[in-house]
Amino acid sequence: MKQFGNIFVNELIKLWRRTTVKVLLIIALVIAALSPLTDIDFISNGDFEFNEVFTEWTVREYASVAEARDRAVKLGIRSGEWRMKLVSVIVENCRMIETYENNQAYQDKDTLNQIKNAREENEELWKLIEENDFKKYIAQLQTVCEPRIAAIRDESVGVKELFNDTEKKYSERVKSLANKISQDLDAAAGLAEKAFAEALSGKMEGTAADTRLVDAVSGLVLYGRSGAVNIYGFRVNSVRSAFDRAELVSGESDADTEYLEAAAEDAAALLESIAVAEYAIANGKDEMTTANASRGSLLSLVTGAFYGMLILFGIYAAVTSVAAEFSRKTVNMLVIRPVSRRSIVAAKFLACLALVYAAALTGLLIGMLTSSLKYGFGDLFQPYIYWNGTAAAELPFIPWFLWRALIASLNIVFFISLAFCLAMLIRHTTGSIILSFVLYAFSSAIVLIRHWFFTSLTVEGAANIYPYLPLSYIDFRTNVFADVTMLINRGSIQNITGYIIGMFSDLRGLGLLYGSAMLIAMSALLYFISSRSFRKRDIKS
Amino acid sequence: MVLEVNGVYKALGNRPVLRDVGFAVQSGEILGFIGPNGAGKTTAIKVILGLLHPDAGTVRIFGNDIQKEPVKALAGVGAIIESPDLYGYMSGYDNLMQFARIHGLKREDVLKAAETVGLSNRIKDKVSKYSLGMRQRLGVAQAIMHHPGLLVLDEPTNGLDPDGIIELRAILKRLAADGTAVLVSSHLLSELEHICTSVCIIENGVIVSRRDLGEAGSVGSRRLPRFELVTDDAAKALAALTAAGYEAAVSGDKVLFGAERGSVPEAVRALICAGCNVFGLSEKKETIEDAYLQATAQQAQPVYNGGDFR
Repeated sequence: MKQFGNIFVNELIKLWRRTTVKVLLIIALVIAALSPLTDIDFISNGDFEFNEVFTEWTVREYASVAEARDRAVKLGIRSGEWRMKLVSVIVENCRMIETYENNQAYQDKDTLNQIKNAREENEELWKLIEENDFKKYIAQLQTVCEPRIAAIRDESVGVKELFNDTEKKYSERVKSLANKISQDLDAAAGLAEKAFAEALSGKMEGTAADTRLVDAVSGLVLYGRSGAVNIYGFRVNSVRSAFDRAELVSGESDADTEYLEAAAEDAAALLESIAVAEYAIANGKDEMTTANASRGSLLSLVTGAFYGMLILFGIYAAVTSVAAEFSRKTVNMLVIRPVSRRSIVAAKFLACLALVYAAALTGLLIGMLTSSLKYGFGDLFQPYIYWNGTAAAELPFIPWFLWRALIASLNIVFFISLAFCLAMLIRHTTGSIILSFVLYAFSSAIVLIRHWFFTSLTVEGAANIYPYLPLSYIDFRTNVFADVTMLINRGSIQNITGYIIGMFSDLRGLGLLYGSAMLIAMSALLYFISSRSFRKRDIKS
Repeated sequence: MVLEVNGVYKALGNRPVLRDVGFAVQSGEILGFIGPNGAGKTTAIKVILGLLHPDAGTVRIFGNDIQKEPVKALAGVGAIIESPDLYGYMSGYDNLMQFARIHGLKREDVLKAAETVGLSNRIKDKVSKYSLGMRQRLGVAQAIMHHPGLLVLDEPTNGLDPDGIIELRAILKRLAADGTAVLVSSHLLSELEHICTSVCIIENGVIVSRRDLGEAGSVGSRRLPRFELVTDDAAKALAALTAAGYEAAVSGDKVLFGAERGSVPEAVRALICAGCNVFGLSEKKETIEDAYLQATAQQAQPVYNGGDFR
């Protein structure tokens, strides 16, 4: 053990003494420090919600949306506050109105009524925004939501009645999904009622909890308004229509479960968001929300350029640790020592991991410091409230964040393992680096192509195979972010990551732990190949 | 026996490089390992050190099979393979510490090794700034600093200045005197001449000769010193010596014979009595070059009839 420790120290020293390693590390840490401070759109920051609602394309295409943006800016509306939610509804209405008005095909009576209602709603919402009276808004929202909540409760009952239809035979899976949806929606409706009561009774602690409630209840309202949207882009207005759509597509009495699964996910997420909001209000917690600038900026560390840089850093360290020894022939001096080749490989691999993890931890701490300098230190100590499957619970934010960062770092481990294995097999520094970088740069493309390939196969069940195949989790930070999004604030982030989330919706169903286990298993396999190659092959350099 | 190589075969690709290679080195012996270019010297050394896996045969160091128990086998081994490749971006001291940690040595041992090879003044400089000779010295330092029982050196004098060569010679002799077995491979036969006690010659992957140096001919099982006689009638001298009971051979215009030093005057008397003219008589040690040329069939010296030359 002591001997192994000595070799491990040797490998760390060798890596640390390389100038290029130090340069890459400094670049990574600078990125970590600056990430929370930048205002670049693709790196989440405090204004991302605003930028999501008023995207460049939307503002350019719809004059009414541009006007709405100007008005919102004048009123000082920013991401993270409850009025932002109303603005997003206004923008949706503007888009719908302008689309219908500009198209002769939509000039029937029903459409004209929709346009009229939407205009009236917009006026009401602007009024509320300008009054800036959250309690009044909640009271009005409650009035709107009460019939919707009642409708959801009725629907839950209605879904169960479907199973009494003896002519149609539904599979156990369909029944299970439908029951789950019913239960979740019913629970969500109950909690929403409770949340309204608590909000109106004065249990509000600052804008964070307010926003949480508005966001959650908006989801409830939207679920009734535009319904769940599954990956195929079809809108499902209700659980019942999910059945209708499923039956229409499948042509059989046994409903296609894809639509129901999408609806079930939405219902579950809705329940989560409302339960968390209710908990925050009931317990007087001013917890961090997704819209909160600090959290957004910190999450950018995990999903943005910093972790990307760490992958490049890890790849270089792994290749240098192995291939450079062969290129420079220093491997001879190492192998003729009284140490096993197995120990040499293990020490090199662990040294790479240790260096990268040390860099990750340092970068995350630096990022937390700079984020806090900009947005305040208090946010770091707000609790993170989550849904544990049966009830809302809370965690201190920092451990939660570091845990997510750890999960996301499995992606880095995979690429280090890949580079390590390539370097051990090729034994050439430049070739190993180039190949590793190419595989990393095109990893998302590789995964997408593989996804399309398997989903296009007509063999039954083929599309279900690929979650179990290697490479499904290469861009794991996407899934981590998806997981984070689900837990924090479902559906509010509609950027490119959201699109990729949609592509991997079926992988999400397998759970975060499953994905983590797959990545660890793949990394272990690559390590095993590396170790065996080094032990069995001649050292000819 | 410190090092035992038995029946080693090794092919690189489809080309056999070593064929039934076998030899041994004992404690205190300095074995010169020589052969023409491409004979398989470096390959054999790499097999001995475990860098290459033999296709057949065994290599035992201190009784431990290098393939089955490499850690035990290499515990008492120091080596330089071709030019020592060290980490140029680190100092000489850091390079030595890399290996010192593995051997459980301390800082003092590293500094002492640096002093032994004459690098104390430059040990903290980066290896990338070292000359070839300095790198070679550092290579020697890493090979000897843990006081190995077996030292394997491939071209150890490469790049060394004359002082360095002399110092290295002294180091090796001292180590051998302390019981270290040394296997040294070099193209400089003259250098090996000064240090080797025995020689092993390899050609086309096959060991063609393995002998001790300095003494040839024998009385019973004992080897005798050789003497070179300068005379004008070699055949007459040869007959006289043979009649007197000495093993002799003609080499050009000289005659070689084996005899105890104490019996040399008797041999001279025998020659004089036989009417031979003796112009000169000197003890002649067999050189490595002699052994090499003989073994590789490029003879410069004749072999004894029935003698121990192989």
